Amino acid sequence: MRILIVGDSHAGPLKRGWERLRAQGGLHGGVSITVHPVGAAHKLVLPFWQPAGDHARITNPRFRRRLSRIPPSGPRPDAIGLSMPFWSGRVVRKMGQQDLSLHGIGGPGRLVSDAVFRQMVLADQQEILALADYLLSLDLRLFVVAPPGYFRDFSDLPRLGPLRLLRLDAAYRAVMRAELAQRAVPVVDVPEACFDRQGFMLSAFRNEDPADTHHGNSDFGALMIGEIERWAVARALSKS
Amino acid sequence: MTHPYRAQPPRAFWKSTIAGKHPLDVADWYVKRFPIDGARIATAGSCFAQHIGRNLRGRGFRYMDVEPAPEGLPQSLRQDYGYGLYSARYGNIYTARQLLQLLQRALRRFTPVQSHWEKDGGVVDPFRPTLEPEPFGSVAEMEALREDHLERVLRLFRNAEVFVFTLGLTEQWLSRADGAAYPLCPGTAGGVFDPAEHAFHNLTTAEVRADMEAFLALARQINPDIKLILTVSPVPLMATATAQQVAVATAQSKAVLRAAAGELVQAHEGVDYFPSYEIITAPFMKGYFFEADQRAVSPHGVKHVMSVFFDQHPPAKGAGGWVPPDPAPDAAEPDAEPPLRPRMAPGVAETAEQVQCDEELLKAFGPDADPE
Repeated sequence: MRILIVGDSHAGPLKRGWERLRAQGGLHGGVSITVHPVGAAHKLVLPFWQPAGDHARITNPRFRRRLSRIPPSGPRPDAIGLSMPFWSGRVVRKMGQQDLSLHGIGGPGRLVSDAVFRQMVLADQQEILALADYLLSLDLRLFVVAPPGYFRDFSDLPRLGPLRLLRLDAAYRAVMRAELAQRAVPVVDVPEACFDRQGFMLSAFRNEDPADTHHGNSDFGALMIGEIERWAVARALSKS
Repeated sequence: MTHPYRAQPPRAFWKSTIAGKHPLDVADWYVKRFPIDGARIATAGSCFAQHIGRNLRGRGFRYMDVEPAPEGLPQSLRQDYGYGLYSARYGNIYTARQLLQLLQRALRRFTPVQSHWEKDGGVVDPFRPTLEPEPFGSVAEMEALREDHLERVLRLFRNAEVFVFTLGLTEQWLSRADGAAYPLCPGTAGGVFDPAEHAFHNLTTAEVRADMEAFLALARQINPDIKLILTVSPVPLMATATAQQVAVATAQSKAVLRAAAGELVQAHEGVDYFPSYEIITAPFMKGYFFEADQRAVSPHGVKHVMSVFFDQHPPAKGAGGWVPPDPAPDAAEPDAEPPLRPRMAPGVAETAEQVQCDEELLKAFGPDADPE
């Protein structure tokens, strides 16, 4: 079965993890995975694609240098994994900058309702959800690959505090999980074992670059590729 | 022979001011009682008050908004979720009793018995039931948001230098248990109407005056220098709960509000009255500014009203623009709290994160992904 993974910069560790598994001969023989970047997450809130018959044409000139269409020309993938829909950083950062919070978190911050927060998330993911809807309309099977959770040295942690950061991330993902469930799009989650007791990602999966506080490393990528392979085999994608 | 009328300006005389004039040429509607430029200004009231707030903000006055819309909430949804309508998310405050109780609730001097109304499987705040399009998911969420709102309302009243209030209605629905004044009749936007729990009351002039006096006294306990600009909404009642025909009920309601406003101006130097009601509804205006339904005020009408207001209150050159949610504390404002951080352009951390995203893409996918 052929799986195409496209996404934001969190696709980077997936690609690097996949390369490492391939070099070590650790890939599942029955699953063929290809990882392509779309573009950096902060630019995914702007229009970056348009319908083009049997595919989505990438319109952002910079994105097009890496990937001009989804799916790429050639054999159709059996499933497309999106690594974009769960990254909460843009909204979480805005919440921190404006000192906003949600009911139930406690501590400082002006409260916004769950409904307002949901609208912020949907606005943040508008282009990505529209892309998902379009790909589904082409009878392409989709799933979502979760990015890493937050690491303890995430740059906005001091501003938000640990509880607010983790709760906002959980709330963001809950909104998106509900949206994806409505579309029957499954999610390949980060295993529980990757998190500490409070809910932060273990530093073992932190990016190799000391200055990078939000991407995973190739260990994380390899682990998630394994999760995707297991999910793909379990779902018996090739049968549907 | 001399008498007081000889000293009156031309605007005091019908013949020179109104007679024979085209409605749009009628001038001298309003002479300000005190300046507002440079002052922190807050607004509240019935729906017509939204126009005043929007224009104050748009013309560079120091308009207060203690609950600004979150950046990230689409502009097209902000008003639907109660943002940007007034200086706080209190929704429409139609009556003097509502205004008084809002401040009492913010000061924790009044806690209504009825805390929530059920609606469509969720709950709404009885004191701002149409704040958001959907009901809240739980009582706890609704109450937490209300507490947060009331804290900010208190800051608003502590820090506003001028409060513009548009009196809208005299008819209202009260809780029989504690007199809590609801903006809407229970059952119309949540809750269940129960004649054993809810009572209709049409405020009298004396009651409106007393409620506004009580409000002013309370506001000046926490903010001694606050000034008040009153207006009366020209928008007729949508419906009356009295036995009167709706236009007759409207006439009574507006007359009561106008009379009370006049009494308040006479009684207090720090209270002004701006005649938006007269500009729209005066007989010689011939209903010119009403839409076809004879109720909604046309954009032309709003523009005309605002031009009269700003003729007297021209924005000062270099006047402050957007007022941050909380004014900066100074020695004269011991209760003022630290301002929120101003809205940020991408900060150092954000920019660094964007660079890291580019670097991660470069690292994984090679030089084709080099940054622009």
